[in-house]
Amino acid sequence: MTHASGDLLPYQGERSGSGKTKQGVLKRVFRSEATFAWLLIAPAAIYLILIVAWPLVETIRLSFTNANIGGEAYIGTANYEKLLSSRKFSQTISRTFYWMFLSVSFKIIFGLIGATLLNAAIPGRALFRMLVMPPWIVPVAIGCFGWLWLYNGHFGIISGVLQYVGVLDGPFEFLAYKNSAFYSAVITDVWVGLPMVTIFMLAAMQGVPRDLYEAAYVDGASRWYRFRRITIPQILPVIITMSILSVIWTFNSFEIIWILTEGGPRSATTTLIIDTYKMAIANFKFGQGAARAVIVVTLLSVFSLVYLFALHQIKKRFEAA
Amino acid sequence: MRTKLLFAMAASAAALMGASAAQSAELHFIRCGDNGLDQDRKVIAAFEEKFPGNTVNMESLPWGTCQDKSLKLASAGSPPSVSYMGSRTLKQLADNNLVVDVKISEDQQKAYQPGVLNTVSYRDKFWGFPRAFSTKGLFLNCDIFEEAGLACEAPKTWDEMYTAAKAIKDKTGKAGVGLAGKDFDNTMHQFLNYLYSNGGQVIDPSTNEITLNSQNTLETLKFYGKLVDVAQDGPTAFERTQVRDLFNDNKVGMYIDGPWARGQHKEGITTKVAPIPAGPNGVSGTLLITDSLAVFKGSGHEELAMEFARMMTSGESQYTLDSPDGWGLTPILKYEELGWEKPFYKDDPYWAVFVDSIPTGGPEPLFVDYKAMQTTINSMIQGIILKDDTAENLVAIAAEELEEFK
Amino acid sequence: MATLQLQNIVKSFGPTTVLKDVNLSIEDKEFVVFVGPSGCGKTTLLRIVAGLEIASEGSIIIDGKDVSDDHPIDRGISMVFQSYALYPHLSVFENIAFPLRVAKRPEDEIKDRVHKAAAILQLEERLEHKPGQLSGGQRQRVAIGRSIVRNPKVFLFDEPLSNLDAALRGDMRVELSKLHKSLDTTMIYVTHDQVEAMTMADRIVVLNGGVVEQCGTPMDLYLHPRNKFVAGFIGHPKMNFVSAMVSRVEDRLLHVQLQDGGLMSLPVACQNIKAGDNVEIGIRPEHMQLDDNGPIAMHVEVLERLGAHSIAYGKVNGDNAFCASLPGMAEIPEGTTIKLNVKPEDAYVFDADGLAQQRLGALELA
Repeated sequence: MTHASGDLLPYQGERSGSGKTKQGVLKRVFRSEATFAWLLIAPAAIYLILIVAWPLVETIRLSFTNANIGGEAYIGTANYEKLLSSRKFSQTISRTFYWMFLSVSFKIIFGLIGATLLNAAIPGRALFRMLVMPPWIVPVAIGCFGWLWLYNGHFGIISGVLQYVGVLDGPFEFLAYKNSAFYSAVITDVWVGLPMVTIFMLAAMQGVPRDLYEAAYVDGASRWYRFRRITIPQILPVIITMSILSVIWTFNSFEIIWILTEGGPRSATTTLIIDTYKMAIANFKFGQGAARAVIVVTLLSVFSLVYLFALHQIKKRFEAA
Repeated sequence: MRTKLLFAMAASAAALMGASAAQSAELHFIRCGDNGLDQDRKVIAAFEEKFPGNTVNMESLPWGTCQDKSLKLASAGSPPSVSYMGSRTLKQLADNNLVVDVKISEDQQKAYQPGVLNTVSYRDKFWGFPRAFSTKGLFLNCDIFEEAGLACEAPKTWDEMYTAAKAIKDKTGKAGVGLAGKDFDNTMHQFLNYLYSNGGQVIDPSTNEITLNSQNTLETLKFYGKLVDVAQDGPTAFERTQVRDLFNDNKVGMYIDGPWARGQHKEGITTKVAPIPAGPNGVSGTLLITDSLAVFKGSGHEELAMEFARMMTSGESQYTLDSPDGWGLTPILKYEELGWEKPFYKDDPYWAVFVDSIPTGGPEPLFVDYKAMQTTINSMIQGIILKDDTAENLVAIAAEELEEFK
Repeated sequence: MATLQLQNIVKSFGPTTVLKDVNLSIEDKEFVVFVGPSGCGKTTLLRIVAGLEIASEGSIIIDGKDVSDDHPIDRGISMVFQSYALYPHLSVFENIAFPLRVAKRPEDEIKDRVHKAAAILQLEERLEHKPGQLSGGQRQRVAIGRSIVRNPKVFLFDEPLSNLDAALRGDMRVELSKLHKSLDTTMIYVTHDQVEAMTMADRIVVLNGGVVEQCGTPMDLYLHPRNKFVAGFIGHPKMNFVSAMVSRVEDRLLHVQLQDGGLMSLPVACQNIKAGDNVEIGIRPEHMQLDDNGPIAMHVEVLERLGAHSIAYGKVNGDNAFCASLPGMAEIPEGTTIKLNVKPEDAYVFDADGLAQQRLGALELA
């Protein structure tokens, strides 16, 4: 800012004196760094206002109304009071957190295991690395329709195989019962989210210098010891980053549940996002939907803050290194 | 001040546009599904000839999205002129001032099958032209009955139905009956067939009182709970079309469907259709469902739109839609009284099942918040299917929740 | 405290053989340097000793025990890596303590031994720092600290100074030599830098193309290189080679005629050399003297003045690169031709196969 700034130049006064022509005005505008910076930022700022700020403000406003298909009226905090006193809603919240906890834990744990195996010097490793990718490459919706078919009790392969080997004595509809539907959705969500977590962890593992492992090996450290005291600390930033990003993604995960169960049966797979969609979009209760959306935004903001804080901590910890 | 001025300008501009539209309007017509497009085009051509200078822009959308699109357009302030809507939504649309009431001539009123006009009536006015009508019957897969050592005879009562289903389940290991239990409109529809066959009711249309919490409902729900044990696994994962797939795959002995089902059954399966079995407290009944052409308010050419909808829903146009060459529906008009010598359903035992049950049928319950009502009823049904709670509690909870949506 | 024998070591990676039948015997407390150009197999040989690579054939014997199939920890070796291989997330203390933690030593002992190592390496002030906060030399010392804390029998160093700048490298050479004296153990040190080899080694092993070219004390290699490769590799600036033809062979004297006509009589004991043979005369730059009657005419292209002496780079016989180390004050304009002489006993003679002939004049120095 300071060195290039025009107001430090000795002849500035004279020049601006002659800046009456159009060119002179332009020159002055561009010489003032603040103005120029604002000009550059303007398109992005306008975009953000249109795409983020305005809808957000509008959502908050709607959440204080009873907006529905017929119109809207200001009703104060009634939507929020209704939500906070609703047992169903508190169940939805705790279900959402349970969903998040399970899915994220599995993604991180299996991601670690997967990345470790893919990083190991096993024959055909390149092939295995390629095989990890499909869930990530296939559009989520198409993958989910595949799972819908797998979970089908009467025509699906899982039920079929389990009947064949004698575990089941008849068709079992995985998506028809509360628990099995919930865990089936978790499995599919993990399936969709796992490759990315695995690939990022694998990349992190490959970034760990070989020397560190050799040095530890020479010092007598076992495989597990090396994993625990070298691999894990070395890729910890990626683990933390992927955990928090997974939390946000899983919290927001919509298509998977919607395609598999639409939140059913009997709300067994209704997470906050599904609930919000059902209320606002499917049932045209925009006011009540907006109140839920505001709660979603609030929670996501908290997650994001945790993420930023963690990033900062990680940076601080590794900056010296 | 300035905003007021802007509004005034906008309003006068809209008025101008509306005036010019009266002379040459473009009607926006939203319809569902891709079956019968040509027939609709014929009507549009006739309409454009009769009202020269006016055109119809027909938008044909998939079944899953057509009604929501109309609602979204309406709530956004740019409604379609005419749209295909489930009649169950008319109460909500009328209450929210989104549709206009339509005029149906005395003659035409008399021509409708009994009960049909009830489905579009609210506050003594008609809120749409009935367009599609259905009643339901119980389809039997005779091959499975035979496999179970049963004669392929239609059960007349719930007891007979359960006995047959249990025999099928026990003898063949296949599902005796197919139930739809997913959170879809059809889950409630299927249940209402049984409820109406047991003298039950969800809401009293004349008093607008919730009448769900009754012995009749309780018996129906308990019967449903019993049926679950002899039904396909996991009804809560099934819509009617998926139940039909099982039926076609020889995995289900009986299920409820509309008259169009005959055309969708696999060849080679021996089927039989019968009226819905009667419950202990009622006679065989059916759910009368209609869809309507609703005329939306605010298009600027509501009168013209009504004219178009009227043309669509009368005479040859309507007959073509109802006939097996069209959608294969329960006849919505008494065509034999309108001059058809031998309408398609005449002297046909298959159609008799669907036409004869009309007088004892009941309407879709009309609620201001129809979707919320459907969710509540479905939750009650899923509750008994999943054995989440006692029938008594489920009915009581549902009845209480419904108060908010009527 | 250990002796180490390498017997018939062969190492192949697929079709490529990088070590061909290496035999070596290292005495207790010896500081041995493996030196050679890149790709000569020196690092591979060190990694085989460490147990990081498995030899395709042959045995490694430490203190009389065959450890060829043993885990590194059971061989009693420790290794310092070229990159130092410090754990960036651990403090200096924990880095040094790492091998002890692996061995599950009691906390008191760990503290004691880490502090002792830190004292030797002057790292006491840095124990709580992370490696990222240290200078290159300090990191190097942490890496050494981690290797000495375990009291291994044999220390292995893989080009440990190559990441340091020249000045620091000089200091570290001295420190490493001191360390060797104070620890009094066997050390094997790999480098491509013959200066490091010359300055630190008790014994140098020159490797080339997977083969041990020669093994001996620094001065032994300097004075009596076994062949042209070793002669060219050891010494800085490099030895010059000029072609010559044998004109007459005497018992302890060889008469040759240089390519450009100069005549020399050299005190060597010849084997398999007869008059008329082509030989190469090796002359170290530091053995050149300016002499107007000298047999070598050098065209000087560049003169580097280093103070104590000046180094002239140029050509002889037209295009044969040549280098001479001359007195610091020598007045030689670039672009002129100078005449050089060398004492006969300072010259080396290599036969057509590159094998050195026994030098008689230098014997007493060995």
